[in-house]
Parts: sequence; structure tokens; C-alpha cells
Amino acid sequence: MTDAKIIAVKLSAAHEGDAELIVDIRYSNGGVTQVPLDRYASEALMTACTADTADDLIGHGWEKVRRALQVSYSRF
Amino acid sequence: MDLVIRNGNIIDGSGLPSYLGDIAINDGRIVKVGNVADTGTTEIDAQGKVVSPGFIDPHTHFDAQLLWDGAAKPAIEHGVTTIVPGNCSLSLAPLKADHRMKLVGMFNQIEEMPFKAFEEGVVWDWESFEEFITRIKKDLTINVAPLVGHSVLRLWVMGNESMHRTATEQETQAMQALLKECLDAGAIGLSTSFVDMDETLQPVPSRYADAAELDALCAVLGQHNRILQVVHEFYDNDITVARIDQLADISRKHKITTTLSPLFVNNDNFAGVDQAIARVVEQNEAGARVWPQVQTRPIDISFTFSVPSLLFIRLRTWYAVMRFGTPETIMAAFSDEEQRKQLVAEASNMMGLWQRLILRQVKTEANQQYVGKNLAEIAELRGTDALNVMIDLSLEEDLDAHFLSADMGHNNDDKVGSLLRHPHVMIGASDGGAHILSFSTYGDTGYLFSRFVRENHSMSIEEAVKKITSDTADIWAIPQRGLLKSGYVADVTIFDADLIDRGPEYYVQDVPGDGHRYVRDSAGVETVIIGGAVAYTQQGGYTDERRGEIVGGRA
Repeated sequence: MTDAKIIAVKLSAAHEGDAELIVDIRYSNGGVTQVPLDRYASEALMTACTADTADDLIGHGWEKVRRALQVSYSRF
Repeated sequence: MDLVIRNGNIIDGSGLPSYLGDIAINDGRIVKVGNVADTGTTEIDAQGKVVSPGFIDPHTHFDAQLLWDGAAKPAIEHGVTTIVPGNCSLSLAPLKADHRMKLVGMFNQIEEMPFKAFEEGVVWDWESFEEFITRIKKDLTINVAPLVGHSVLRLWVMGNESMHRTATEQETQAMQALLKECLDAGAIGLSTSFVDMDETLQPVPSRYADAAELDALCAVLGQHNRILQVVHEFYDNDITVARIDQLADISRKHKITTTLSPLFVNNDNFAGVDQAIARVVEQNEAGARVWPQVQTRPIDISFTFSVPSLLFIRLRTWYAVMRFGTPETIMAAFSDEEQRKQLVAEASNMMGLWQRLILRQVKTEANQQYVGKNLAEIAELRGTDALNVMIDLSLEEDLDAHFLSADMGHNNDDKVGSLLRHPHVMIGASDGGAHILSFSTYGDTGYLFSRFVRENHSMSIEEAVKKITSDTADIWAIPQRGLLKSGYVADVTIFDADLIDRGPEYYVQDVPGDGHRYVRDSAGVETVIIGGAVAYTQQGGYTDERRGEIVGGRA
């Protein structure tokens, strides 16, 4: 299992005109990927990481991002 | 001659330099370009203005609007004479009566077309694609090159199972036969989506298709030499590159043109879009035809305080108030002197952002005077600062004040400009007629000229015209349009090169069922001619001419 972690967060403008959160995740081999999170996924991730602000997400593992995305996907 | 346009600065769509000349039009066709001695029944003096082919918008969702508005307003006033609806796997035909409400739900979710607009603006008198074409042709001002949606084909053949599983061989064959029927009836190609969700936030039917099904449908496109449009995973660069490879394989195998949209510039990852374009070039040089679509306009973010926006996720106190709050507690926080002081203190170092915010919409009569102004302007009128104005307006409107933060994405002019100019990029992805309750999808053509020709000099005016006329017609195989050439259909746009632009965005109630939408007026577009008849003038507005046609497809 990889120990990929969030190394950066930034705000972006989604196609639909909403703000979205982009998290950069660095893999153990050095590779970096960007994952966009909508409002629902972002809120779930903030809760999972007990974060008060987006910068508190840095250092948390990728599994929390996956679970947060699932919250967004499964809300209906 | 029916119509002669005189003394115009002719930009013929070929990319060649402009020149002074006249254009003669008879029976809907251009009969001469150059020096015209004959007199026209109607004469237009175009001195000092550009005369170009009508613009072609290859990515729209005007499907529903065409049922009550055959001009697809306000597309024509922005110089657009041909639109491609039916993108992203969604078209309004073929459609069995039993599936109407399902499709309305998808249009509502994906394109924000209100349910009430369908209830009050649509008489459902078609099922087949041919019947739909017959229906919209009755009152057509603009030319329409319609795609047929993959999700709709699945829905017709598989019913509700289309939203759960892959197709059987028999079902795939039925879809092939149905697609052929649609192409024979005038569809310009097939659209599919790997991204969109329906009204229950489940994947749209096209996303349940396997590669074999898409391949089988593309075989039909190959037999008819028609185009495939896809919505790819534009938010993920690696998948985008994989989709480019997939489309290239399909293109080479079936000898068809493919297009993917939208491709955005990510300001934090220029390398991503460079990688995608490099792969497109590599694949096209190896015999594929893959065209990424890039939109001209930047992406704006809009928000109210009634729905938590991530715009505040870096502001600890603000985000806490919004994330855990109800409208009542948010109002209470804004009203409480101590809490407000804390909020203002935390956000005051971002005053530049608050000052640029534009007030888009309010419900009280008293604040209508401020709509369209930025918060710096309103603050000056009210004798306060932008941040406090944002809070005050939100309180006065019970949190129903709508704010817009413009130019938040796809907004690096150098990068976007070089993409728009790239020979392997199609200018498109306007989404005209979609997202009507969130932002205006009109005026991208004006923005191309004002921003990327006039202000930033990313390309010449001749290149810009070519990109949205003959290039688009060639890629989409729309015959006899896109050039000012003898024998071609007389779709012509006359505009002022110094003034053409998109106007400010505003909210208007013109959708059936008392519905609203965001629109933009045009600037600098003086006359638009479709099929040889004047369809629109800046001074007189829309005329009664109805010369629009169903166009496209390699016969």
C-alpha cells in the first residue's frame, strides 16, 4: 500500500462555475497527481482530517481523499 | 441581385489577408466576391466594417430552446449563423414517450434547463430523430447541425437497463441501426460522455457502454463519414491523454473525425495541457483526426452565502460559520457585532478579491440599482468598504445576494491565446444554451476578437475568423459554409473590428414557465445574414426571416 500524502492544496474554478479544491498528492516514488474535490468531497475531507482551514489538509494520507470522494459520489 | 454588401473589409475565412470589396447574393447564395457592378434589391454599406463568413459554434446545448426559439437567441447577435446542438451524449431525439421525463431530468441536471420550461414550452410531438428535425425546421432562423446523443440511443434501445449495464450484442446492433436512421435523417454525428451525471447523480447511460459498443457505433459513423464528439475527463490530465489515444485509435480504425471537449488551461499545471496537445499532434501526425476544443472565455466563480462555497476554505472563521451553519446562524453571525468584527479582520487582507466581486442578482427592489457593479463601486456609493458591503448586502437579501468572482480559471491569456491559435485546436466548447442559471454561455466569439485579437495580439483577425468559420466547417464536414466564396451559402457576419466584444452578463426572464437565465448582449456586430437574408441588425434587432437549415454531414 502506498503512503501517498497530500502535499499542497489550492482553490480552482470548476467548469460549472463553482469553486473546487485541488489537492496535490505525492506518491512514495516521487510522482505527484492532482485530484479535484467538489464542495461535498471537500467538506468530508475537512471533517476526516479535523481541519479548520484548507492548509490543515497537508500531510494527510490519500485514503482520506478517496473516502471523501466516495461521500460526494454516494450522496444520492 | 437580392442583396449586395458594398465596400466591406472582406475577410473570407480562408486565412488570407483582408481586402476591400463587395459581395453579391442571390437566391441565398454568394454569387460574386470582389467588385460588384450590379445593383441589389437591398444594399448594405459596409464601409469600415469587416465582412466575414458567419461564425460556427460547434459545442452547444440549444436543443430544448430550439423548440420555442428558432433563432437560439442570443447566438445570432454574436455573429453565429450555425450551431451544433446535441453534445455530451444528450439530444432530444430519438426519444420514446415513456422516456421524456427521464431526459428532462438529465437536461435539468446537466444543462440547468428548468422542468417548467419543458412543461410550458414544449409540445411533445416527436419520437424519431426525423420527426424532431421536422419539428424544429418549422421555425428555424439559425442553421443547425445536430448531433445525436449516445445516452439517448441507449435509452431508446435498452430502457432503464441503459443506466445499469453494458449492452448485449443484440442491443448494440439495435443501436447501430438506430444511429444509422438518425444519420440518414440529418444528424451530423454522435456525441458521448465519459463524465456527466443524471438528475440522481448517477452516470448518464453512455457511461455504461463498454469499448466494444462505442466501437460498433463508430463503425456506423465510419460508413457515413460522420464525427464523434466526446466529453472526456477534462479535470484529470492522465485520463485526458488516455482518451486522446483512444479517440486516435477509433479515428484511424473507422476513418472518422473525433473531437473532445472541453480542454482547459490549469494555471497550476501548464505542463498538463502541453502534454495533451503534444499527444494530439503525435496522434494526428500518425494519421488520426482528434480535435480538442478550447473555449475562449475564462471561468468565473459565483456564490451566495446560502450555500457554502469553497472560496472561503482558507479563511478559518468564515469557513466554520458557513460549513456548520444554517442560513439563520450565518445571518446571526453576520449580524453579531463581535463575530462580524472577527470575520472582517480575518478577510481584510484579501480586500482586492472582495473589491473585484460583482453583484449579479438580488431579490429586493432597493438593491437592484447595484446589480452589475463591483463591490468597490458599491462600497464607494455606500461609504464603506467592499467586505462590509458583501456582508451588508447578504443580510439585506436574506443571504440571497449573488456574487461573481470573474476570471478565476482558464484565464492565462498567453497560454489560452497560444492554445486557441494552435493548428491542432478547434475553438469551441462554448456550451451555448447550457448552465443557464449559473452563467452566460454566449459571446465567446466577441471575446475571441476583443481579448485575443485586439488586446493581446495572440492571433491576427484573419486567423481568428478562419478558426471559427472555415476551420470549423472543414472539421465538422459542413458543406458550402465557412467561406465567402462564389457558390457558397450566404451566411455572413458584418462587424466592427474595433468594437466587437461580448457585453456584460445579466439575468433575464425569457425562458418558458417564467424561467430566468444569464445572457450577454453583443457589441460591434452590425448585421448577420443567414441563407442570404438579413436575420439580425444591431439597430433593428431580429427580422422575420426564417432561412435556417439543418446542415452538415458528408452526403
